[in-house]
Amino acid sequence: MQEKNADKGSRLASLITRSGIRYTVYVTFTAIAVFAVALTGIILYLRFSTQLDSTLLNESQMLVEQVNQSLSAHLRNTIRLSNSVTYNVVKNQDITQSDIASQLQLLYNTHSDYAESIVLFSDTGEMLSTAPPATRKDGADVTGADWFRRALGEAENLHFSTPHVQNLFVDSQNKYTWIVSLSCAAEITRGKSTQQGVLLVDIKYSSISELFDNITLPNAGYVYLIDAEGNIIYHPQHQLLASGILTENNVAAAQLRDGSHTMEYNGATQSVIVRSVGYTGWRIIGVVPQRGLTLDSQQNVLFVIMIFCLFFELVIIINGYLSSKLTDPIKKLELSVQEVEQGTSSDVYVGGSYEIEHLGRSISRMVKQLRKLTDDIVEEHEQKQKSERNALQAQINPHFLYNTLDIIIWMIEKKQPEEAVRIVSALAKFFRLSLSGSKNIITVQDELEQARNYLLIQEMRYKNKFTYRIDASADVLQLSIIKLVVQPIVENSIYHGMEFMDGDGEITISAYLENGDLYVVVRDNGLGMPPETVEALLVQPARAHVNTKGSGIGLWNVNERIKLYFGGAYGLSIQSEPDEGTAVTLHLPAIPFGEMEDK
Amino acid sequence: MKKNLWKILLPLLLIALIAVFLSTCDAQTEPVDDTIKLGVLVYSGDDTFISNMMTSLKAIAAQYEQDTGVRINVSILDSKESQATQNDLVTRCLSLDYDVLCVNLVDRTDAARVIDQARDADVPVVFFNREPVQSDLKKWDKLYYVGADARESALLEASIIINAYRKDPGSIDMNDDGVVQYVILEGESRHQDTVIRTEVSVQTLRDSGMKLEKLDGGIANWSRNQAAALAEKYFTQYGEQIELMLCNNDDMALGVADTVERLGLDFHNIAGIDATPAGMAAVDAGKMLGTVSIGYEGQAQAIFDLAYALATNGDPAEKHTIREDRSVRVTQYVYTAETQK
Amino acid sequence: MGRIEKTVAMIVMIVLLTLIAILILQSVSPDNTEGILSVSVLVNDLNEYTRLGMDKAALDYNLDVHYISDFGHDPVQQMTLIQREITNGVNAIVLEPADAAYLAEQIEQAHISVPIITIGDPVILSGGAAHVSPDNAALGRMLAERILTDEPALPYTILMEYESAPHILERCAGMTTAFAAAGKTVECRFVENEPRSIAMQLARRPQTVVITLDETLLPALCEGGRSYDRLYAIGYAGNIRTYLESGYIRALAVYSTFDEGYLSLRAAEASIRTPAQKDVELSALLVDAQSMYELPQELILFPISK
Repeated sequence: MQEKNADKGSRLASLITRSGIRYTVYVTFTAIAVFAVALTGIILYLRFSTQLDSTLLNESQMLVEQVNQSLSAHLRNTIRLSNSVTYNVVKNQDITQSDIASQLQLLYNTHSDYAESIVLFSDTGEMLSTAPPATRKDGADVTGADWFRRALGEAENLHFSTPHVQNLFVDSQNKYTWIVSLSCAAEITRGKSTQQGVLLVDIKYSSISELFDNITLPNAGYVYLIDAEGNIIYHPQHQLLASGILTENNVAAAQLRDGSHTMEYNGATQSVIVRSVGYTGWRIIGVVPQRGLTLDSQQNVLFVIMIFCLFFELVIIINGYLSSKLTDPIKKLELSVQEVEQGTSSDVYVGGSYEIEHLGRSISRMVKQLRKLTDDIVEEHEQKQKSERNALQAQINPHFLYNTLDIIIWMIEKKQPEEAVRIVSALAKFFRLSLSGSKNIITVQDELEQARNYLLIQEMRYKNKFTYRIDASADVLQLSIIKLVVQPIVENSIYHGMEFMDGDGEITISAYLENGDLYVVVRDNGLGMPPETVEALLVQPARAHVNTKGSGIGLWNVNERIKLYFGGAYGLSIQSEPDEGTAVTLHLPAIPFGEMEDK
Repeated sequence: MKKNLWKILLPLLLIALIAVFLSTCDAQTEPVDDTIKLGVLVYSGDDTFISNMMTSLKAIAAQYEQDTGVRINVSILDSKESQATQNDLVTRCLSLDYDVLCVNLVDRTDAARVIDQARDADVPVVFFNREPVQSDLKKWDKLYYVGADARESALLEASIIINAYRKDPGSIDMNDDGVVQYVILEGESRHQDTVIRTEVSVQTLRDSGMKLEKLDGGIANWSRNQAAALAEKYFTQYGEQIELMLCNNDDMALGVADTVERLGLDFHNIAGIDATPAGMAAVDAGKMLGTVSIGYEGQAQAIFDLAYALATNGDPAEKHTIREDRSVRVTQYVYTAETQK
Repeated sequence: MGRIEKTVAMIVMIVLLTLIAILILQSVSPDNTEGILSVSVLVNDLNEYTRLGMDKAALDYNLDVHYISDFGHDPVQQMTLIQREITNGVNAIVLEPADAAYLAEQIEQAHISVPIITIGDPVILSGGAAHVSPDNAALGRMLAERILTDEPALPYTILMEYESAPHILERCAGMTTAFAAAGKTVECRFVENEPRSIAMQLARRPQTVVITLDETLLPALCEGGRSYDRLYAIGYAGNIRTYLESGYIRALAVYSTFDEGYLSLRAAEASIRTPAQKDVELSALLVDAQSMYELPQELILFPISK
């Protein structure tokens, strides 16, 4: 599991690496911005839409309640009218004596905005009085009518009918009115006897529908009115319901208790608000369709998409600008570093934010330092090459060879073959050692052998102007030494010191360990050198001063090589007293042969 | 390359932003419409007088359109005897961009909402047949009233009786006691015409020297049915005592005639006002003494001329005299069997 | 990576500009279908209930309706009016054709682009014209079946006006087919719409079942003073209410004229947005003195206007 995560992590890391800094920054910025806004938008939308939904529901409930209040008030008015007639006009007034008709007319006039007619019937259905004046239809059935029977059946209550067309009175103009009949029992006094009668107050249906007509609920919702059984009393689309073109869920709504409910009808979700109207058993039903998204028109959808595109475009542009501003300096830095690596330029870009500037400057410094070190290495390498070339050159210095060959010829001519053989062998050994080009580090023993061979040859050449001795303690013989360091000193000693000695010259080479370091001293008792000369010897000679007589490798060369190989602590030193002699000391570390890298 | 892209994108983005703001404002669609839309709101579609006037009005508009080629849309809307409904109809007409409204008020004391809405929308209103109170008419200078002078109608109605009486007193004073016993049937108690017609007709009769005795009176609310029922009551109660049935309008007079027919009586002294086709037919058939022609054709013409002038920013006073009370009164004349000869 | 991002930016910019263009065009365009639509109704004898239905539809769908009903059954005049309404920019037309064949030809020739809805008789157009009407044959059949149940023995007479409209003829066909299926013959008599003419036609046939196919002849039949005690009819009008109530008219086959008005305007509104609407069939039912005050018949015979 951990391996997988590590794997994924490294895959992501490698993806980032491969994509480059600008792309990563840019994509990340854009993605985060879009994601953040989208998330904010969705959260806010959800929150506000739930708030909006509950606000709408509350509003709807309030509206339904308002309608309920107005309807109840209206019904109470009608009840009050009916009661006024029953108790103030009809009851305890002898119908044969009093003018019931004008009192009915007065009450009718006062309430004619909602009362269609007020009629008093006897229990046999005889029409006793009516306001406004009207002629009864011949075939009108009173005693069989629902409102009549219910009024007599339950004398203590008033009864509201469902809406119907007025059918009691003649209308000579073929007009009709929808009414709701309010009927109740009334006690009629005739002379000395009383009897039950029925008071009918026909209420204009328009007075009820007016209360509902302009009520709209949110989301194209509406309000309708049903009786206790679910029959529709008022509905904004009453006509279309009657012919079956539309359907309504009124039967189910009649079963609900007061309050808010959620129902499914015809495939749509609705909030259904139910309120009971007092006294009548009627219920007001408010229907609010629940819509999910309110993106109901094509224009709205297009608009939202457009806003999104606009925002996206802005994000792209701004992010592009920002990430460029951030990452361009890095890019420039990277490019200039590439150029430096390729060698096409030597300047490093410095700019951008302070970190990048600092990077630029540091890289610039490091590049310079590197260059310097490289130059040093190159120079050292050149030095080495030069010395090797010199050594090589020296090793095949023609003068030395010619002279030595001359000596050999002379020896042969002098009929001293043993001497000749000795010189030839010495020369051979000499050249063998000095021409073994690849090795730079040899044993002290071999270097001293080289010097011996050289001295042997030179002794013969200089006709025993001097003698030599080589002293090396046993513990130094297997130590490492650079080749061709002793021979040039000896050479120098011979040329500078032995020229003017007549057999008294002495060159002594001693090699010993002191304080853990190797010392090789070449001493002669020659002319010696003044301090200026000593100094001059250790100075890098100009080309013109190459010693053509000898090997050509100067003391400076030896000193440099020792320093290069072993470090600045070691090297060559000269002590010289004019007329006394010279001692050149080689100071080297004591490194057993084989332990040192041969460069 | 980056700089150039920026130069292109930035102005485009600015355009985009501006366009977004513009699109959030509702663009008003201006309908290119040079038809003149006349909205006529009648107080009740059942009133025969008004219905006849409307037929006349539509005919006048159609004729005008044919003659001049100016397109006129006349919409007749029924306020169903509810002022609230009429107020809603006014709102709807204004929302449909009608040019002028002709309003036959349901409740003449409640003209405020109609006037306020019309004034806010700068749409002139010609009231007709049911007169708003003077203080309401004075609220705005683009309110007018076209109607009959109620006094004159009553006067003319009385003149029918007077002329008949002068010609043959016995036809009116049937029991020859020198007094005319009458019953009066009045219109809606709210209506200004009711009061004026009742008072003026009776007064005019009295002024002519006739002796009157009022047997009874009732409010039949301009309704034929109610008048019929009341008449039945009166005839049952007073029988032959009744010598004259004075009615504020033809519908009620016809109701009386219905009862007379139903009861099989021989009674013709019924007077009305309006001269509806049914009324005129009754006069022709001898069922009614006479009626007063309020000239609904004349009224319709006046309404149309006034409305058209107002809708086209013309001079309303061009074709009809406008009185000080911002009303145009229509000429009336009597319609009896005699005048038709 | 710069190239990819530039490409994306360009694409989004193009999409954005297209959407802006569409939105601007939509809100500025003159036939913005979210505004008020205007419909002209050219019906010469507009039934008051049909008018009620149309008024309600006008409210529900926010339509500006112009009623024209004074061209006196003249098809030439009707065509002129149609042209006029179109020049004045009406969005749809509802009409009851005075002469269906003539109008079909004229409308076709004039290449009218405005949707046409018909009531009464249908008008056959290549572009389609939705027709709102009851199934006339079914109306006839329904009444025929009732008559066969009530009076199987008596002879039947159908009274029709001269030059009856096609939908009336359809009702006649429906009836005669139903009668024929039951083995009854029926005679068709043509009359003038006038009591004397009718009385003359029926004088020698006292015990006949008299049938009319629309409500125009009914008043004359009823008010003629005669008693045709077995009267059946199709179609309702306010002036025959008392006769239906009293049972003078035995049974009436009716359809909802309110719906005719409402649905024709609803179809007009729908056809403005999507042309070629389907025909709408109104339901038909039988009423008599017993059932006329019961729901739903009560609502169909007496639509709520107040």
